[in-house]
Amino acid sequence: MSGELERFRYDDDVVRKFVAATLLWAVVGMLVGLILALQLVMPALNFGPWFTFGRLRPLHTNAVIFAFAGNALFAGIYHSSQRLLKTRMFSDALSRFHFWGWQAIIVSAAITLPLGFTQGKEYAELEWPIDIAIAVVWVAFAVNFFGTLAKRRERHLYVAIWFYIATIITVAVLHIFNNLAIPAGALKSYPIYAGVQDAFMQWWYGHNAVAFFLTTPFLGMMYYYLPKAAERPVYSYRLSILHFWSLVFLYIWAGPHHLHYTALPEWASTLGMLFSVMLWMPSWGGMINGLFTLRGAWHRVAQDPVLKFFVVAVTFYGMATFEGPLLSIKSVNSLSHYTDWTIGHVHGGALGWNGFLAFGMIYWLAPRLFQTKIYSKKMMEFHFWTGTIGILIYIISMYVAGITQGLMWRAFNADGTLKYDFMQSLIKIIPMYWFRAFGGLLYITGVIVGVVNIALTWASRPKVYEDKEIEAPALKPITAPDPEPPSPLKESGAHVVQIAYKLERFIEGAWHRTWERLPLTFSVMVGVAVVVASLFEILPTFLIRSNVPTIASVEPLTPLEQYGRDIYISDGCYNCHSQMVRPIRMETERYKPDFSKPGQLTYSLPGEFVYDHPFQWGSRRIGPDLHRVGRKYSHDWHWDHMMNPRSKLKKSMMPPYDYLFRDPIDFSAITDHTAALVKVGVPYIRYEVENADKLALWQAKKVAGELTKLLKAQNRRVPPNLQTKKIIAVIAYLQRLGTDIFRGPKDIVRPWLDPKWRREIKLSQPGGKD
Amino acid sequence: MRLSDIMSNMHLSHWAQIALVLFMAIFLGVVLYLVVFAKRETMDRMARMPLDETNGQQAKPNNGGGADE
Ligand code: HEC
Repeated sequence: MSGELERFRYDDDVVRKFVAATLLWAVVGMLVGLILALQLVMPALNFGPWFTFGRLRPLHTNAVIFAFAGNALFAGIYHSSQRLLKTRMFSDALSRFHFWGWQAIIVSAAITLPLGFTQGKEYAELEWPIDIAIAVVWVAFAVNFFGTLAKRRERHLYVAIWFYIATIITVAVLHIFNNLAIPAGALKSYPIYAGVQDAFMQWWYGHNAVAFFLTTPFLGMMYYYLPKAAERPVYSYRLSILHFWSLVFLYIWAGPHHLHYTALPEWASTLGMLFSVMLWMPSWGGMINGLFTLRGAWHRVAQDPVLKFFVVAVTFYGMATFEGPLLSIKSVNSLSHYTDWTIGHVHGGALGWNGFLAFGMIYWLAPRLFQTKIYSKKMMEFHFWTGTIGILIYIISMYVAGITQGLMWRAFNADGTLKYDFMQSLIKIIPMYWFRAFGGLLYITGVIVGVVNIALTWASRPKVYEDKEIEAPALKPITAPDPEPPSPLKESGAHVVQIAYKLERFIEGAWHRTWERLPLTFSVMVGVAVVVASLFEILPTFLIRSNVPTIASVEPLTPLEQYGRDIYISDGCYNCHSQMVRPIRMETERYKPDFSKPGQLTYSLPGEFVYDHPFQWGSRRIGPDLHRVGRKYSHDWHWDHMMNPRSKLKKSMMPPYDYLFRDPIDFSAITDHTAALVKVGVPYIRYEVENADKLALWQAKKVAGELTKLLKAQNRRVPPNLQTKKIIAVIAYLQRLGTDIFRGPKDIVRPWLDPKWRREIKLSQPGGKD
Repeated sequence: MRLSDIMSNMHLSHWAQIALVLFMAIFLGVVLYLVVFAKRETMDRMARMPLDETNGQQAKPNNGGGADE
C-alpha cells in the first residue's frame, strides 16, 4: 500500500497571473515614486487636490510594498510551495479569489488614497472597509496555504515553507491589531489607540511588517530560487534553520527600541536593544549562506543574469540588515531620524533586496511558466546594470542628503544659537534630490525594459501550455512509533537506570524526530507561541492607560480644530511634517515657541497626545516640525502660506493648497466624527457632541472674523463665506497645535464647558448657503 | 468601562519579561538542537529538497521517520 503513486498537476496559471500583476504594479508604484521625487525639486508638479505629495506618497509606499512586493511574494509562494509540498494548491477557487481579491484591494487603494481617504498611519493608510477586505483575502490565502500543507505528499517541510508560515500568521496578527478602529463614516475612522499608544502600535506594526512582509517571505524565496538557479543546494541547511528561528524570535524583540517612555522595565528595554544588535548575526548568517551557495559556481554568475540579480539582492539584504541595527542605536538615531538617511535605508532594502530578488525570480520563472526561451538576455543585462547603478546613485545621494541635513540641524554657533535655519538645511540638499530622481529614473528604465522583455517572452509562448502530470506517492499517515533501539539500560528494572535510559533517548534527539513527524501540529504550536508571546510583549505597553501621565491643561480639540486635523491627515501633511519635538537641545532650541517662559519644558510630552487618534508624529521632516507651530504665526501668514508657500519662502517645496480655500466644510460630518471620537475615548461632553456642527460654525465665524480684520488692515480683498471654507478649520487646528501646555487659566479653548456660556450664546445652524 | 481599563487591571506588564525568557529559552533550544543533535544526513537531504522536482520521494516509502534512522 505504501508508496503508491498519485498523479496530479501543479497550478501554474495562478503563478502566471501573479507574475503579470507584479510587473504591472512595479511600473505603476515606481512611476509614482519618480513623480514624488520630481515634486520635491519641481513643486509645480503638485496637482491638487488629488496629486499632491502628501496624497501620492502613501500611494507609492502601498503600491510598492503591497502591490509589487506583495504580488511577487504570492507568485513565489504559490509556485515554490506546490513543488516543495508535491501537491497542487488546496483550492483553485481560493487561489483565484486570492488573486482577484488582492488586485481589487490594490485598485481601491489607488482610487481612495489620491481622493484623501486615509487612516493617516504609515503603511496602514487604507480605510476600514479596505482593511476588512484585506483581512478576508488574507484568511482565504491562509486557508488555501494550510490546506495545501495538510494534503502535501512530502513529509518534511523545507525551510522556505517555514518562512511562509511565519509570514502568513504574523501579517494577519499585525494587520488586525494595528487597524482596530471605530468607523466615523463610509471611508473615515479613528483608531482605538491614541498618541503614545497608537505610536507604539503603529511602529510595532511597521517594524514587524518589514520583518514579515518584506523579509521572511523573500528569504523563503531566496532559499528556494537561489539553489534552483545555482543548481546546487543551499550552503548550510543548519544555518538556514538558525536564520529562521533567530529572525522569528529576535525580530519581535527588536521592537523595544521604539518603546521608550513605557512601563517596560529598563533591563527589558536594554535587552531589546541587545536583541536588535544580535539580529546582525543571523541576518549576516543568512547573507553568507546565500552567497556561499554559489561557491564553485561563480563562473556561472558571470554568464547568468538571474544569478547576478540574486547576488546583488542578497548583498543588499546584508547591507540593509547591517544598517538597521545601526540606526536603532540611540546616538545614531538622534542624527538620522527624520532625515533622508532613513529614505536611503529603505530604498536599499526595497530596490536592492526586494526588487532584485523579485526580478531575479521572475526571470528564472518566465521561461518555465511560459514554456519558451527568454526573449533577450541582453535586455536582462541592461536591466541589471541600470538597476544596480540606479540603486547606488539613489542611496548614496540620500546618505549624503541625510547626514548633511542631520549635521546642519544640530550645528550651533559659539554663542549657543542655531547655525542654520530650516530652509538653509533644505536648500543645501536639493542637488541630492536631483541625483535621487536620476537614480530612480535609471532603476525604472531597467524595470520597463524588463517588463517588455517578459512580455515578448510571453508572446512567444506555445499555443497551449503543456500541463505536465506529476507523480508522487501519497503521504502515509504516521502509525508506527519511533522504533526504540536496544539499550542495556532499558532492560534494567532499577529506577535510577530507567531515568538514565530516558535521558539517553532524549539526548539522542528522539523527541525532535517525534516532533518532526508532526510538522503541522508543530508549526501551528510554534505559530501560536510566537503570536502569544509577541502579544505579551506588546499588550501591556499599549493598553495600560497609566503609562501616559495626563496633563491637566491638555484638552481635546474643538470640533472645528478636529476637522482641521482630519484635513491635515487626509492631505497627508504627516508625510512631510513631524509633530514630535525630541528632548534634545537642537530641537528645543529650534522649535521653542516665543511665548514660552525661560526654563519651561518645550519638547513634546507624552501627555500632550492623549487625544490624538491617530498620532501624527511622522517619520520624515521634509518641512519643519509642526508640534509647536501653534500661535507662531498670524492667521493671515498661514492664509498666504497655504495658498502659495513660495510666497513666503521662495524655495519651499510644500504644495499649494488652494483647493482648501474653495472646498466647503462638511458640517454634518463633524457631528459624526465627534460621536465616533467619543467612542474611542475622547471626553467630549454631551452638549459638545449634540451641537458639534453648530459649535464648529461658531468657531469658524470667530476665526474668519479675526482673519478678515487682518486682511482688511492690509487693504486686501476678503472672499465671501469665509467661515464655510476648509482652510479656516486648518488654520484653527494649526493655531492650537502644541499650545495647551503653555495655557494660563484665562486661555479658554472650549468656552462651552461653562454652563453660563451655553445659556448665553445662541448657536446658529450650519447649512443653507449663508 | 473600556478595554484599556480591563487591561490596566490585569497587571500584565511582567508578562513581557516571561515572554522574553520563553523566547530566549526556545531560541537556545533550537541552537542546541542544531549544534548537537541535528544529523548531517538529514540536513543534506533537506537541503536538496528544492532541487528535486518530479517525484522527490526517496526509494524508501514515507514511513514518517527522518532519513537519519
Ligand atoms: C512636500 C512636503 C510638504 C507637504 C506635503 C506639506 N508641507 Fe508644510 N512645509 C513644507 C516645507 C518644505 C516647509 C518649509 C518651507 C515653508 O515654510 O514653506 C513647510 C512649512 C510649513 C509650515 C510653516 C512651519 C514653520 O514653522 O515655519 C506650516 C504651518 C505647514 N508647512 C503646514 C502644512 C500643512 C497644514 C500641510 C498639509 C495640508 C503641509 N504643510 C504639507 C513641506 C510640506
